[in-house]
Amino acid sequence: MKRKRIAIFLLVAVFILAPVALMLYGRLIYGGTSKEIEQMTTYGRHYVMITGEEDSGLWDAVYESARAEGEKRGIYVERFGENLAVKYSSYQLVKMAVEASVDGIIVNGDESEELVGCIDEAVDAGIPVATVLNDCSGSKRQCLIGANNYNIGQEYGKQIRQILDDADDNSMKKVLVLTENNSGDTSGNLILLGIRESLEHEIKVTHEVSVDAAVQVDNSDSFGAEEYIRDVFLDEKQIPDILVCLSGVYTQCAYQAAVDYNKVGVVQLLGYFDSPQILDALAKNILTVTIAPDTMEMGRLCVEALDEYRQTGYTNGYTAVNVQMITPAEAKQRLAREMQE
Amino acid sequence: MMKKKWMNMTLRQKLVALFIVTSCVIVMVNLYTYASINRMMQRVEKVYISNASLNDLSDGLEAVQRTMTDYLQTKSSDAMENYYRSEQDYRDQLEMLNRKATDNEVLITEKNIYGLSQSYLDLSGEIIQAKRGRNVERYASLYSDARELYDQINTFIYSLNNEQFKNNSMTYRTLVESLRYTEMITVIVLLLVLIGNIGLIVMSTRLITEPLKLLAEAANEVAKGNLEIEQLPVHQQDEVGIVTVAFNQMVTSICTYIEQLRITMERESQLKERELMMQSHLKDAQLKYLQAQINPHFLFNTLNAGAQLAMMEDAAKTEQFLLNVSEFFRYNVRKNNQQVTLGEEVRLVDNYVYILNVRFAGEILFEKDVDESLCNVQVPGMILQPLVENAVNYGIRNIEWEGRIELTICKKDDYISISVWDNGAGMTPERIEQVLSGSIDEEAATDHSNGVGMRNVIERLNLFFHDRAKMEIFSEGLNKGTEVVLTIPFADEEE
Repeated sequence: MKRKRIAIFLLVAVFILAPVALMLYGRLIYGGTSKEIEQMTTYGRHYVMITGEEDSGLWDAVYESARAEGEKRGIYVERFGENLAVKYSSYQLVKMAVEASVDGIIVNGDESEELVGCIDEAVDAGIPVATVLNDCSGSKRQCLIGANNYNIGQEYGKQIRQILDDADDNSMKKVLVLTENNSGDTSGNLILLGIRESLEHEIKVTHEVSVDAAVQVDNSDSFGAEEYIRDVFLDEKQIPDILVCLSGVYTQCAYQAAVDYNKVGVVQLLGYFDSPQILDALAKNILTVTIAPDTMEMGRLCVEALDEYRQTGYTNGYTAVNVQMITPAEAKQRLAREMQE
Repeated sequence: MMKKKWMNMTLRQKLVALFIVTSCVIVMVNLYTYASINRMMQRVEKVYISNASLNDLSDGLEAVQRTMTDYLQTKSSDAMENYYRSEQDYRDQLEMLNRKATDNEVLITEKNIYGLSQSYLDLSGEIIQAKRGRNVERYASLYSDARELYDQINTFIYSLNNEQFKNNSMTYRTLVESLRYTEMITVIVLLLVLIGNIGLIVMSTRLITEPLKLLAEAANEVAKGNLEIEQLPVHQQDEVGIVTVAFNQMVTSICTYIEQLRITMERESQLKERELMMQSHLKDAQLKYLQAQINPHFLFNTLNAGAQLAMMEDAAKTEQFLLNVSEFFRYNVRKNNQQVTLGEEVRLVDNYVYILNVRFAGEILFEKDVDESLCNVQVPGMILQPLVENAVNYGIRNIEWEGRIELTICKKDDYISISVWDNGAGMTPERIEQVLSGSIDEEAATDHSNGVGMRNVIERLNLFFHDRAKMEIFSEGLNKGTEVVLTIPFADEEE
């Protein structure tokens, strides 16, 4: 009698469970693809961020922060031109953004005429434009969000002084500053100025220093920088005692070259930006120090500035972003913290 | 409720219901599977539909550009018309694109395409106007702008198409994979349902055939001759249930019949046994009588000869004596069969007492009080004489006073009471008990009696009257006399 009961129970179970399982499975399959659209959020405004291809690590960080800030304010920030099959230059992208009637443009500026024209066009069309990190000073852009390049130069200068003070001999030291060769970009010059002034005022008396300011990496094709940096390391006569890199990519190229040509310690490397790779190099003492703008703040401030302008019609022409100096010890701490997280 | 319904269904209905239920389940599962696979196929067909519509969009844009260029080259009204038609078509297509800012990459690209396309269409409108106004410089410069914008929009569409194609390929792969899964799951479910169905059929048919099996087993038992089987349980009201009920009744009937037969046969054999016993007792009595009287025929003839001699010599008393003696012996010769009348029995007693009185010179005073109407009542032979003989031998033989014997035969209700009374030695109650139980009967009889004991008399009376005869012995003690009373049913005589 008990076995019979179990048999009946099993039968009923099979009869009921089989179709139910089938139905659940069906729902599982059909529910799958419609998820993407369900998760989508609609925003009130549409800003675009145009950054160019270089230093993607830094720009990724800036974009993420801008996007997060936008989400809070009901704005979708798009990284414009990122997924296009053709790579357009910044000014073209700005122009396209204007044609596409976006609500705001954040662009990594330069001093080219085309960009000035395009930005002016955008502003004339009623679309606020903010330049980020690098300015487009001749344009009608609403504001610049970036680090104070003169200050950055001063910081580098301080570091160079420190290194010279620590050195034993008082022989002639060669400092090479690698700046970007963006057409008419003044940021590199400002930094250079900052370094020079800092050195001239303070240590003229005690040390002999030559600051090779004129060296600018030919940036017209994407791979020239790396080749140039290798050349610097290969030429024994020209090899500097201190190498200052003013972009994340140069920093990476330089420390790689230093490792490859066994110049770690011989050439003191001052880097820029705080990507994990750079922090790692810093932790290994390949870099002496690195200076990084606060990317989180930068992204946030861009969206804030555009929003402010949209709401009030006014905004600060220049908003400074904090710059931090990161030493090997701090790099180690940050890496350890990230590991924990 | 369901169970009750099932129990009341006929065999045919049950089988049909079973077939319908199992078929329905299979059909339902099949239909569902078919539907889901169908739906799946539709989805597979729709996967690349977004690519197709983007291609249409691209075609529409190309048509606008081509017709515009055409008009710029020819300024024909046909080209103009074509331009406006393609422009309208393209606008219609644009209406289907997303226009909201969302974080979905595909949709935001659609928004960009929409914006760019609107700018492009405005521009193309301006170009057409400039052409109409023959403003060559203006439409030439605008045309190069439009051309640039056209390329850019195409790049956007192309990139979106690529992105969509990537997504769709992924979806397609997932779909094909899940189609394969669905196939497998379907087969498994079908198998499960099949197993379930088989189980259901096996259980239901067992439910149907189980009573049949029990019935067959019971029938086999009955065929082997074993009727001692339990009643089969009847749960269902189908044909098998009805047959089972009939079978149960049949077995019960057979049992009852056999029992009746057995009782009848038993009664018959009892009757036969009684007859045999009767005969054997009579034979026993006769044997003992013959042993006692040796050859009654010889004696009887001899005594008759003696009587004739006495008559010739004129010796009347001797003749009377010899006649009585011969009468006494003749009784047994004549009464060969067992049944005699009560009158004949009384006469035998008369003869016996006469003989004794001659032998013992009139010592015995014999009195009788017989209801003449009862003389024809049939009784077994040799029942009175042994009683009287006992009264003489044990009652009055050795007493100092005159011995008396009284025989009384009278009717009491439906019974005939036969009493033999004497005033002789009497009996103790123990002795009476012993006599009635027959424990001392035979040994004491050897010497003096003619051998037909009291016990024998009772047993023959009981056999004859089917245990309705009764013998009682009354005595008030030693030397106070004894009365033996036989009670036999009267009605038997009438029958």
